[in-house]
Amino acid sequence: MAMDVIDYKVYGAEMQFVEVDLDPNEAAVGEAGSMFYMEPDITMETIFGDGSAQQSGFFSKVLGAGKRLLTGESLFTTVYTNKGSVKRKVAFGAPYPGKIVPIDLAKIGGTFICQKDAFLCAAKGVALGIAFQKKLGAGFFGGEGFIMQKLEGDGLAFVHAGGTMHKRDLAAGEVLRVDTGCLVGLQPSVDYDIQMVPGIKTALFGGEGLFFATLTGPGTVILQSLPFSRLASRIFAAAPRGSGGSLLGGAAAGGIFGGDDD
Amino acid sequence: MQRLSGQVFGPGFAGAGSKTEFDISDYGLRLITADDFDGAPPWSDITLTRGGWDGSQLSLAWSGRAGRYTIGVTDKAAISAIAALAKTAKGVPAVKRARTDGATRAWIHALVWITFVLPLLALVAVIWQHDRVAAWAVSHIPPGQERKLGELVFAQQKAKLKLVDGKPLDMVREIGAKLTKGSPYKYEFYVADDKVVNAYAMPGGFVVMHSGLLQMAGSAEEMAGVLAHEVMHVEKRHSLKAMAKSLGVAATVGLVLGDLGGLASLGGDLVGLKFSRDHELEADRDGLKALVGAGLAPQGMAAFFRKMAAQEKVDLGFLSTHPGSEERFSAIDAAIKALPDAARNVPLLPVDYAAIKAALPK
Repeated sequence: MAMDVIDYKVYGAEMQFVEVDLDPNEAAVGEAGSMFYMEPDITMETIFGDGSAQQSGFFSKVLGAGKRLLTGESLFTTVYTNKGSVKRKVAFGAPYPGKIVPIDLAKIGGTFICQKDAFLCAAKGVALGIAFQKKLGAGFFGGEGFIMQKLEGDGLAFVHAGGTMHKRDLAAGEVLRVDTGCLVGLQPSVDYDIQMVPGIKTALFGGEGLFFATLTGPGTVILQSLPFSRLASRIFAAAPRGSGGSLLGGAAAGGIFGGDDD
Repeated sequence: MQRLSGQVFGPGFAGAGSKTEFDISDYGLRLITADDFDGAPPWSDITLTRGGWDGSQLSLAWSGRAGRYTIGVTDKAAISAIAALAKTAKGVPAVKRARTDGATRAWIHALVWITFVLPLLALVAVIWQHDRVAAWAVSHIPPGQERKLGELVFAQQKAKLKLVDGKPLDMVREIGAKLTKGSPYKYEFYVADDKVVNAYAMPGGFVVMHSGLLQMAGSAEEMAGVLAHEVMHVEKRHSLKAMAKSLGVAATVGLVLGDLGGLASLGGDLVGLKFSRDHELEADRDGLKALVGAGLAPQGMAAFFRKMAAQEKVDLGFLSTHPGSEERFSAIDAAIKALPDAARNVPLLPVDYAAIKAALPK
């Protein structure tokens, strides 16, 4: 099935959002809660599953939605369709500091495997599935867990991760050793494994953990310089301890009055 | 000849590879998208490797004049087509497998064992051998701790009891003191106003006799028989054993999973714990010995059980958790008959039991 071809522009430096141009009757799917703004004529429809054409029957819809639940995303996705007669824009914001990277699925062979939660938005028709890591070692210690997300189709998809994103094409046999947790996504042809950090001193005191993730080409990989969990643990460590909290109630009270994130 | 598709990488192709179709035959493979000489290697030049991000892709690699080419195949049907052809065609090399290096594998195994397999085995062992584990755990509870537990349980229980003092309590205490002489436990005996024929012991030496039981007993010796039985539950730490047995597995599961919440609420249920049949028989047997040791006539114990057996058909609380009174009576009776004459022919206690009964609340 032909995917909707969309034009886009990424705004911002460290806290980015992507603005997508939709021609009349074109549509994009967004992760629930990621919509930033939209122009008139764009309709929102929240659907069960991912809105790709493969999901025809009720059962496959339930299955698709269940898969989304496994990857840590909500059961529903929202489809943004331009029902007007001129080009309209809709924007999706990244949920935390980092970068948004566009992936043209057609150019990389139709399939991209990425970190859970990395998906931000895509052209309608891109299927969001789960990819299960079959290698025990990589699953346990690779930093990405056993369940990753699979983006399939031939349209454009946007993924988001923390810090600076680095896209790299590995030649056949070229090996890159990466700190676990820093892998955002990879082409399925890339061999993903783990390797013991050399030397017991480095393993224990080097601060990199016991394992590296090893990526062996050929294929494209996307890395992130700052996994969100690392940022979060730094913030947590720096956060003032003790009882109390803000006198005004702060952000907790603000949450009651809208804000589409959870 | 079969036409398959994959992603081709190599000189002249994009860094992320290009989608390609290729034909496989007995001779080798041929790229449809490239009419270059490099695109048609024979099988003998191709290296087959099972790998990819999750180990389930197949890559076909060969060296051409311009450099090294690789086709990554993800499609399962295509992979099995290649595997099928590899069996029949000549010169197809064996499929290599991208493997984690040996040292890393050893570490993975060690970590998986330490974090998953060993705790699981420990759990299975604990469930399987829970009797022994319970016994071991009980033997490691210090008496001071046992006393505290008893105090806790008795404090809860006390609120529900109507305690009685006066002559009956004095008698119970006096006989109790005889039975527990030399015991490491500090006993406290109580009489509660309750018509149900029952008596119970809590860890650390708290023993409660119901007035209904005193009413049913015909003599101080009969009451002493029951008291000796209850004292033995304390001495043999039956409450703790039962507790460790019923909570042991749950507690171990909790410990393994790091959840201690289940352990916190253990106090209140202790009174409701059922002693096992073995525990009851042990308390009978050792109670009898205690009676003899204290110089009390053991026949009272047998007499009381005979009474219980006669009333067995009547629903009585005391019986519900105990082995059949008839059976216990026979066992006690036989044990008494086996005693030396000196132990059997003991003068009765100088107690006016009728007066005691009269002093019980009506």
